[in-house]
Amino acid sequence: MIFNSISFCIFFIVVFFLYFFPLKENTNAQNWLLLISSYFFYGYTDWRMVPLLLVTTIIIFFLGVAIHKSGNSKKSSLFTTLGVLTGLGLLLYFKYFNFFIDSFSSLLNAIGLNSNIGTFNIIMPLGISFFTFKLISYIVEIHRGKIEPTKDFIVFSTYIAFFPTILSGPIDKPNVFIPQLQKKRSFDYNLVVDGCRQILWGLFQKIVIADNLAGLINGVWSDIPNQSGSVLFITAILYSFQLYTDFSGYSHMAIGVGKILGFHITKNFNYPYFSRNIAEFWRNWHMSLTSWLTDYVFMPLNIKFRNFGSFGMILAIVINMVAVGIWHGPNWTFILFGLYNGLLFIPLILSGSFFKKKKLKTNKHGLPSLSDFFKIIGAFILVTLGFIIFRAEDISQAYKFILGIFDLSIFAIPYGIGMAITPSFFSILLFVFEWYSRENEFPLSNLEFKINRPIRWAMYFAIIIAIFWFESTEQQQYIYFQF
Amino acid sequence: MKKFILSLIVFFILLGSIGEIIIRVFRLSSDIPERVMDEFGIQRFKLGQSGYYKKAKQKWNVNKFGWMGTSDTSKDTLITIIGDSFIENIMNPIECNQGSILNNLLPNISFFEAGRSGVTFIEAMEISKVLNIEVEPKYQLIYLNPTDLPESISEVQLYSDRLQISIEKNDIQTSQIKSPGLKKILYNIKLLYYLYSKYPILVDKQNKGEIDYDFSEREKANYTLFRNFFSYITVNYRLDNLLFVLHPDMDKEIVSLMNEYNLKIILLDSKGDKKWEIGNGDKHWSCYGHNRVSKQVGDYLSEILNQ
Repeated sequence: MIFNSISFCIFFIVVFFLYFFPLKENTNAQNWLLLISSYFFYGYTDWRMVPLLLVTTIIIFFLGVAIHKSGNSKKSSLFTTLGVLTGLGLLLYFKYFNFFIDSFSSLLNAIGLNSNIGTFNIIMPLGISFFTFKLISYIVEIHRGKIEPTKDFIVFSTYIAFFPTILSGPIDKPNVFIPQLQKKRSFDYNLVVDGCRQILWGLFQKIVIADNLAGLINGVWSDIPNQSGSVLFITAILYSFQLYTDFSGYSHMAIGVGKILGFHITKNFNYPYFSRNIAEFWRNWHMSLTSWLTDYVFMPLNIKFRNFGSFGMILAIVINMVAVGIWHGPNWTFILFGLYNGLLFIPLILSGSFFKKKKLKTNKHGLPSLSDFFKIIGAFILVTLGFIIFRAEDISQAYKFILGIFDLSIFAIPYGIGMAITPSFFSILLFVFEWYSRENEFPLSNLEFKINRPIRWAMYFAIIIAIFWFESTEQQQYIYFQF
Repeated sequence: MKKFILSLIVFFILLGSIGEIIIRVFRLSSDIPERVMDEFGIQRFKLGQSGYYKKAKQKWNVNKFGWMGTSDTSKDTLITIIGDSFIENIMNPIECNQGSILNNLLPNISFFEAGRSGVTFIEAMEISKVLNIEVEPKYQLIYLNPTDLPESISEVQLYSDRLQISIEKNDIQTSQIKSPGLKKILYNIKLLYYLYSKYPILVDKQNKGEIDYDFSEREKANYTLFRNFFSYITVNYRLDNLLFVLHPDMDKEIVSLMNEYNLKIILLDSKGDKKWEIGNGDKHWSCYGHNRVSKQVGDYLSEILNQ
């Protein structure tokens, strides 16, 4: 079930009315409802994965209690290791097992040992990369003494399976989300309206821009040798737009749905394409994942390597970024994508600008300074190059794509990209809109303080009409569902 | 909560009104004509109606016989075109109708269309009987897709809103117009009809040109019924001027049965060309598809008319 579907609409209306009418202000009953609806939502696509989710949730719940009871003893470390291994084990088996077998087999063949190791037919559970990270962070946070385990299994399992975020995040930390489940939640007009606006913004990004770009981009990627450099170059840029609007559109919808139910879900994007360097970009892109990896991968590594000075930090960053890459899936392209991004940090660390967090300054027209403007363009080009590796099916395809761009045909007229005109126009409109509202959580937030109702509503109507008018004839799956 | 629900209601009323205006101004959904039951138990369109095809400048008009589409009866040779929603073709502009394209290919012949969504094989036969009297055609083209035959026989599946035949009782069973009040609302509030046809969850198979029929082993038990059906039509209808245009996906055994009963058939061949379909779950023919179909039918007609 995806957010932009009639089935989700019906599902959510039912949940909403049950949540705020018969179960009004009964936190326990509301949590039950959220849990049941979350499992229904999760099982709607493929019910076979529901037992897996339930069993892992039970295991981690009891391990959490056991860790807390064990205090600082060795037992606590043992239970923590067990919990982390349960989470990682799930990921390794369902997501990476075939990749390891395949790579091992290729290695044996490369050194002359004929191997014919078959792979297994493993179905990857939807959202596995997201809910296992929640499970792991719960265990680690208890071990670190930052949170106490909840004694309420319903609360814990709702945190893990919460339907707005289970399929594609954002990945909420337990210390942020569990207390919200334990708190009384009543109807908050301002929060609900803000949630509706955020859903609307997400729908606009996904339906009007991302889905309409998908057809052209997929077409070009499936026929790279016959494309001119100019078409490849434009497609690479458009893919950056597509990936952003697809994923951030989904995240906005998830956060919006959460707000309507009275939750504050972790922000996932903070206008990443206005970043002036790669460090800034990764602070603003898929923030819940980078924050998770910063806490559990980068920080421990950075502490471990602190005696090696800048080199230690570079090593920690590169490992962290490779982890970001691998998280996306079992493919060498993702490893290379992570490595590429990690290496881009080196000049920043060596020059000391990695630590500087300067705010964007604008002139009286609200535009960035010339130097900031070029930095933004430079960072965007570097990110776009990385996304070529990210989008490719294998490294050789990425190589062909990049090679195709750096060709004299980059100056040729880019034929056959007419269908990208409308979504490109809306992308530019989106970035202009984002630029002037970048201090806000999302462009439509806090509008009631800026413009009066008739204009505000006219704006909403225009967005809704654009969504219906420009809805792509073929509904596209969310890119991040595959991870 | 009250404030929110009130705002939401006002918001959606305003949005709905704007949406209705936009759909009407830009003709984002076709106008659907109202139906009436005639004395023969055939559903025709109420006389005097007119409306617009989707995104088209031309109007459709219901002719004096109660049908839409091409209705030229002026030339010496007249050929009628009978069928379901593929022939009614409300989803495409009128220049993509079989009658219009065939008329371009064979300008010396008049074409008269009698198409309506939900017409079954047996209803097409009944329509042909009436048209033989009303317009006296030289030939009648009956367009059939794989579901038209099983849907004709009440013993296979009973449909109260379609004209069917009971093979066991040897009796034609007339249809009823289903939920006319609801349909009137749906067709008059353009926004509702737009949403109804845009989102597949709300659209029934008939409106999506569904042509898949499961001719599995279980269904083959119906072949006796199918055989009896053909026996019935050979006795009860004039067949010498009928030409059956069969959808490319028509079941081979049905085609064999039709050959066995010496029915004149034109088996269409799409060669797997997906462009024939409108797409997005709608299996009706696109303008391209209609052109390809007309080409094959036109070639056949030229051949028999020159004989």
